[in-house]
Amino acid sequence: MRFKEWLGGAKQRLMTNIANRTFKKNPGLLDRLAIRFLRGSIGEVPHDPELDHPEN
Amino acid sequence: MASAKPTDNKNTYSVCTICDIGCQLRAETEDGKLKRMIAHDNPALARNVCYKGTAAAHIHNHVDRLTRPLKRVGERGEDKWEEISYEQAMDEIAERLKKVVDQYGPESMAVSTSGWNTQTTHSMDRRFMNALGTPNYISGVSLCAGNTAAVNKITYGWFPFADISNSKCIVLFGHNPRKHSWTPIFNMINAARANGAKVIVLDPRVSDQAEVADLHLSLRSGTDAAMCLGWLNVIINEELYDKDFVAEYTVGFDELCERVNDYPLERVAEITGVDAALIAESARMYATAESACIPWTPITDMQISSTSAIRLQSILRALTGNIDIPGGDVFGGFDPNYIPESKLGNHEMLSAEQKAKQLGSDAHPAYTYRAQEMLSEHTERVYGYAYADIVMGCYMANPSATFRAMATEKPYPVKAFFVLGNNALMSYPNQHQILKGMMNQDLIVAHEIFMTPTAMLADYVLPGDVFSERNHISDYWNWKLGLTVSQKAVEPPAEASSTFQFWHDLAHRMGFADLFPWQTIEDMLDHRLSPTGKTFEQFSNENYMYIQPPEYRKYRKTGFATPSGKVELKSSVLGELGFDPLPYYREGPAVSEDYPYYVFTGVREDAFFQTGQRQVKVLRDRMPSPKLFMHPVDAERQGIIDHDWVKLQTETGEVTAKVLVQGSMKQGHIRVPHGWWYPEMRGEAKLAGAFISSDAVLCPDTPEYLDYEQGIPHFKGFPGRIVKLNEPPAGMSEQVLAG
Repeated sequence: MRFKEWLGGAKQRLMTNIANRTFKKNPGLLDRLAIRFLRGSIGEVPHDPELDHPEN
Repeated sequence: MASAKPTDNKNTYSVCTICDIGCQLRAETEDGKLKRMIAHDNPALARNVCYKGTAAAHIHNHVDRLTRPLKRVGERGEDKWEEISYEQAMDEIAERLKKVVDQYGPESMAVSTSGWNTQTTHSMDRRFMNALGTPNYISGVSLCAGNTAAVNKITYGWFPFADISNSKCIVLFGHNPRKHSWTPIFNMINAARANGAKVIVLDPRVSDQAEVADLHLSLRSGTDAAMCLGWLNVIINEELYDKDFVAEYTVGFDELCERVNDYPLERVAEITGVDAALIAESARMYATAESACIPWTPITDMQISSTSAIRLQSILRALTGNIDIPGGDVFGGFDPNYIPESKLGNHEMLSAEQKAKQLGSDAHPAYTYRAQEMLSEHTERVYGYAYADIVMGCYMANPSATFRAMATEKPYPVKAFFVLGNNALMSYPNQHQILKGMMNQDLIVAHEIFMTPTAMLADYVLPGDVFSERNHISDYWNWKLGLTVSQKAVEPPAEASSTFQFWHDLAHRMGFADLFPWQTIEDMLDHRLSPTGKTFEQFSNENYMYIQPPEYRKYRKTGFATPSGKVELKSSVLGELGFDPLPYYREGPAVSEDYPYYVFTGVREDAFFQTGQRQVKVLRDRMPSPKLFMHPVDAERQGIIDHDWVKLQTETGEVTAKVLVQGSMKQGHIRVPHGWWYPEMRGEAKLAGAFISSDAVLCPDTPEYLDYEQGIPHFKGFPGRIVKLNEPPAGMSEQVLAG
């Protein structure tokens, strides 16, 4: 359990570091790799028509 | 008025403040106007958007936006105004405030605000108040999240944020995150569920979350504390708790066990109306999960046993060892990269004598200076600074006591009321008393983006800016660790400006210039980011978000920020204040022949946040009229069918609304949406219909309806009755009648 918890924490720190790379305005090589990784694991989010509003 | 220029449109990310969640969205502009607000381009954030957020352009460019300062020319509440310049307004406000303070003392000024809406105050309101000498700050967070933060601190020194995405078991006490309300939380729950997490929902009705839950406990409204005691009974008696954690990091376990034994499952089943076997099964599911969390819920915030129920949720987290672990409830602390509002507020400056005058702190001290300062030295020991104003909710006056003082001048007069980004008249209990209090003021100043029923009662109304018109960095008010950039996309219209600017300009006129050296929001952001060595411009050019990598079980090094240094199952703070130091369940006012239904109010609808947005056509079209929910059996007994107009009456007031008959409702319960008024009735009905359908008239704030420790009213399950109307109410628009 404790090892599992340690592993969970380590994974969270790694994922946070990867996420922070994807939040860069001018991504470098490693940042772009992080974005590719993220897109690969999450996929593209399709447009949701419920979010659309008619023009007033 | 405007400070920095809007940024390049191609890279403009803004934090939406239409509700309290703070999703970062992308702004598109055209000819200096916000054209539309769209979802994020980062796939991890792209689902965090709802149809309120994408309506931002309809709100920000609305024809009814306030753009010039207004001065009252008619009687108070008559809604007659003249436009004046910003400089004239601020000069006159300062002069009149000085007069009130000279006559009645600094504590005669009260401020009501909502940090969710105003966003960029940077605690300059508290700084101003502390410089002036008034402790009378009230906020909607006293009913929602802020009070939970304060009570959590009493038990273990901080307010944790649930690590939902990584959890294996999520417990929702009445909370119902869905696609267009609390959207990021909804997405986190879905992600966890996809990863095998179990979800337990405790809600009187079959909510959206209950429909897909692993276990749904349809408890009677307002009985959260009893349910938690039932869970503890199972967890303790079946020895499902984390014995090592309890032994090393808690105090009061034996006394807690004794208290819990007063709540055998049969008793809890009787109180809550939930089968004992289901209570036991859910308690076991929670306690034996690899990791589990109990996210904050607005439902437990608003009950007669709220303090106990919030503490019991904290105790459940502690006993099951789910504190500060991945997938549990995680303690953030102050963000090392950003100076917190807790510091900027300068709470040290207010004297003990003035703090003691904080309204309501004598009877209901839990979230006031009186209780929270008992934690100061421990907060400093663990977190490095004495004042942790998490979610802005830890050093507040009690709203009911404040409005009572405004109305009756007891225990002392409150004669100047400043209300910013907050429709106070309809946002607290006992709306009739609030009106009485506001009518008894020498000075009311409102800072708003639209004219509201509250602003109609003001002497001065200043036009506020909106999130696309200002720079900001959100730090979630220290609830979780992370910084989110919000960039100005367009200029505010005419003389609209931020609440930061308001307090700065008022402070300079009141002789506090030295305490307010930052001229612009960007100066303030530079100051707050100084630990990073970067300016706002540098930081926001590099990142649109930064999350502090998490650390877990930090208490092993620091202990907990409580007097004992441990999780206080038996609270030394509450004990010293004269309250029961152990959690308990208290029954709310009973239903009767006259008032046979349990009413629950304060319910959020997807199209709106609190009392806002009713004038925004694209949102109002989705929800044209207020609707109560009733069970089919109750409706049949009352001779009511779908879309009938009714009056819901309690001993203090009545709400007119339509009925939706829903099989998902719990029998004997009536659900009331929050914050309805009718901007289209402005000029025709008193205060634009603020007393027709507003749920704030329903729940009394007399002692038998109030939680002892916080003074929170029992919004979840008080007695009421339904009267069918034969005719629709007069004066309603065609849209309301048809919708």
